[in-house]
Amino acid sequence: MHSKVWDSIFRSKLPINTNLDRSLVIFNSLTLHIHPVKVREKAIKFSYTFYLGMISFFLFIILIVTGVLLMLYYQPAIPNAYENMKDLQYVVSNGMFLRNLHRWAAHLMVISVFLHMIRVFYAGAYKPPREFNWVVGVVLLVLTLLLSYTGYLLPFDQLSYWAVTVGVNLIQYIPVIGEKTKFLFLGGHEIGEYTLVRFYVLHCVILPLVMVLLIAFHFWRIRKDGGLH
Amino acid sequence: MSKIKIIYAVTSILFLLLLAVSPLKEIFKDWRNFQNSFNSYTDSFPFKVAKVDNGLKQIWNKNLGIIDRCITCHVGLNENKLSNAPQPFTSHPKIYHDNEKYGCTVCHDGQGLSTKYEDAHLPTEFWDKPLLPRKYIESACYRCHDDLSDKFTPLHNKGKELIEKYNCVSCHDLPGIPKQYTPDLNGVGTKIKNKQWLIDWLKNPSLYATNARMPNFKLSETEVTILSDFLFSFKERRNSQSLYPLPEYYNTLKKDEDFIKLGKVSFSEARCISCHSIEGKGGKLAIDLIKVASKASEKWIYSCIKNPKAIMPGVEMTQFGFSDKEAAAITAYIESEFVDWNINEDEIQNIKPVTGYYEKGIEIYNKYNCGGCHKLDIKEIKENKGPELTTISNKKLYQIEWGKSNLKHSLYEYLENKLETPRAFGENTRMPEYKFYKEEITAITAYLLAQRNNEVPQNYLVRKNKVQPFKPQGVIGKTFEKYSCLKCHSVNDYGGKIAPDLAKVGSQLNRDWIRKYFNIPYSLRAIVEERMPKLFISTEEVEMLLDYFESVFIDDNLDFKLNLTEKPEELEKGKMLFKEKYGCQSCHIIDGSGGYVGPPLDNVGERLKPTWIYSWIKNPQKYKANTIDPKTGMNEEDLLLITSYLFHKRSW
Repeated sequence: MHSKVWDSIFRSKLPINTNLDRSLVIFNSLTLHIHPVKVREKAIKFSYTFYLGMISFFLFIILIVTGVLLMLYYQPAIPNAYENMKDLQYVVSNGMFLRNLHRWAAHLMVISVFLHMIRVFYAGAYKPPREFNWVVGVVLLVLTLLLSYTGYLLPFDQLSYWAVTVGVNLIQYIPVIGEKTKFLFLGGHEIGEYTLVRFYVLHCVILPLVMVLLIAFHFWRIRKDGGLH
Repeated sequence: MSKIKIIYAVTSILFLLLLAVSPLKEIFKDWRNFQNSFNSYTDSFPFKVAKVDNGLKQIWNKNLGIIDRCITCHVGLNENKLSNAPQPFTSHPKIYHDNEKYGCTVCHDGQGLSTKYEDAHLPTEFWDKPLLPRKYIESACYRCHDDLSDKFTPLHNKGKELIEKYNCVSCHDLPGIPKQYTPDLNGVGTKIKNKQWLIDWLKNPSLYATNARMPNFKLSETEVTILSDFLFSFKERRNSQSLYPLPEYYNTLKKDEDFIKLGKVSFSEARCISCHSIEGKGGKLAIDLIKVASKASEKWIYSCIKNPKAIMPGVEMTQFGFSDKEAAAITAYIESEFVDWNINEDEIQNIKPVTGYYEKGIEIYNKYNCGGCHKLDIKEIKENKGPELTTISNKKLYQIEWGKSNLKHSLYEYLENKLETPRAFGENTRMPEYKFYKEEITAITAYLLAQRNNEVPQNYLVRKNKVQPFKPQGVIGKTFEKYSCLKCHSVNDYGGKIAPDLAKVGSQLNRDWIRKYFNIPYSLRAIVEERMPKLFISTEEVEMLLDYFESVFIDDNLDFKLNLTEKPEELEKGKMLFKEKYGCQSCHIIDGSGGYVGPPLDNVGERLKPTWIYSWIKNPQKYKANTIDPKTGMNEEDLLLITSYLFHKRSW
């Protein structure tokens, strides 16, 4: 196992015998170092967190994977967008499955994020020193909802059209900046191709990027604020 | 192994099995079954039919924006031998378009992208345009074509006629449909004799006349009373000719039998029943006269006979050249004959007007857009049209108010039901009821389904040359207008379809014959009912028209010299050719015997000019596209002989 390639990738030296070696494995890995080196069994009891944060995270991963696959079949244009839905339904192998997977994962993610928040609230886990992470969590909830909402327009059917109409009409009532914000969202004065492109970019690039960064930050803060102790 | 690991393993396997459902569904799709059964079905045939390769198939027409997957299941479309095969394997009937090139949904509608039966054909939640029922297919022709004959789109063309007839354009904008004449209501109080008639008419016009064109507005009892009071108050004929006073002798003579007889003779001489019917018998162009004397006042009837265009501006009725005495006599005849004997004259005059009827009347008049058909010169009348129908076929289903109806949502269902019971889709709709027959509803629906925006690219559009309107100016224009010539005749296809086109009449007919015909018109073919009315036209007007015909309604190609023969033996030869060789007598009467299909040809030399006879026989369809007179292709010699023979069929 001690080849040059192995060593260049994994910094930990095998065999791992001592507790120091074990903690070095955790320390030296990007993916694992989020975890504390030592976790008490009580802290990872199922009934303590119900793994709700982790479930949300995995749903997010599913959404990214299925979302990227869906992007292969999708054009943010009129009427192509709706026709693409038809293609997924009738022509693409397992297209309906793919689309449903994305849809149900999104629904479940909203539910699990919400339950996660409730769990944190009733466990009093928002109290100092974790108050800032609570705030980050709330932003993540809002991002989850925004992702759902922006994704709603993309099939460009009647349901999407009117949902977005109602949405941006609500925005319009914000004092002072309402009109401008509506214009910004729509990319014009009415729902059209530019709205579709804006929602597409928000849904597939901007919001997921912010989400990933904030999730990483959220996880890191769990550690720093003394989670899992 | 710990318990948790077993649970983990089991759920993982279960989950994997669950995921396997998706690819399985993919394999067992309906269209694969169809393709397989097509192959086994055609195996049993004695002749060879090409097998289909398994797989999705589609027609892609980039220009039309069409992707049609119909041919995934309809695999035998272009296989002529399968015309009796069951669906979806039936071959397509022969049409003028290559379906491989045009796709399917361009004509049939439906969801071409779909590969499932229900989604492709039926009204579903996620597709606005379900398959058009076969009867409406022809309305799809108008996505590219703009004018097709009855041969191709009979239903659509019938619908267009009906829409014209029922004057739909008075409330709905529709391009290319002319507005019908409808009487204006200025001075209606001096026209209508009794208010009860007006009340009954407003309640339901078809009770008075079964073929009344005015629909039933389903007015309430109070609305009817108010509206009749309102209309009855218009005794003054604003902005138009006031009624002509009846001549003094009328009152003394109106019961006189000889006077009435004179009226009756003039009435039949003018052939009023060419256009008017009497108890359903007669022409269909104008109203039935059976009870007209109980409806309209004497003075009004007299004025109308004397000068209809002054009393009813825009009316298509001919202005006959009756003398005052003849007009009065006809009035007396109508008064004596065309009466509703069931009306009790005493009961009717004492109905008191409702208070505030004028303002409320205007309100009702505007609400139902009465002004759309009936002009009334007061400034409070406002246009209050119904929805425009120019692009009705583009209407999205969500834009339609479905009310409480439980229809399967599709545009044609909506239109059919709207036409049948116009108020079915909500309390506030105000469209009146027409009591259409089923066939009429289908025809109108077919026409409306053709009303849409152009969605096909320019190079797909097939546009016919529009008919040029014929609108002569000056005195000729006024004469044409006075006698409503274009109601029956056309000039280069512009005008009525009842009588022959006049565009070449100067090259066709002899001046003397036309002059006589104006005086005593008759039907050229005994079997044709329509006949030109006697216009009582003055000699000066006739000569002026004849001058005009001979200088304008001319075909220069018919201006050539013919070497007609006068020799009796050659004329005899022509006669033989006419009777023996070409068998013309099977359709035409000559020398007292022959068929009834074409016009009789005795004295034809008096009627037709020789170059016309010659050119017509040479190629009848050139002069009248739909004539059944055959193009015989006879040689020059025969042609000249027959022309000479026919030209000598005259008394001079």
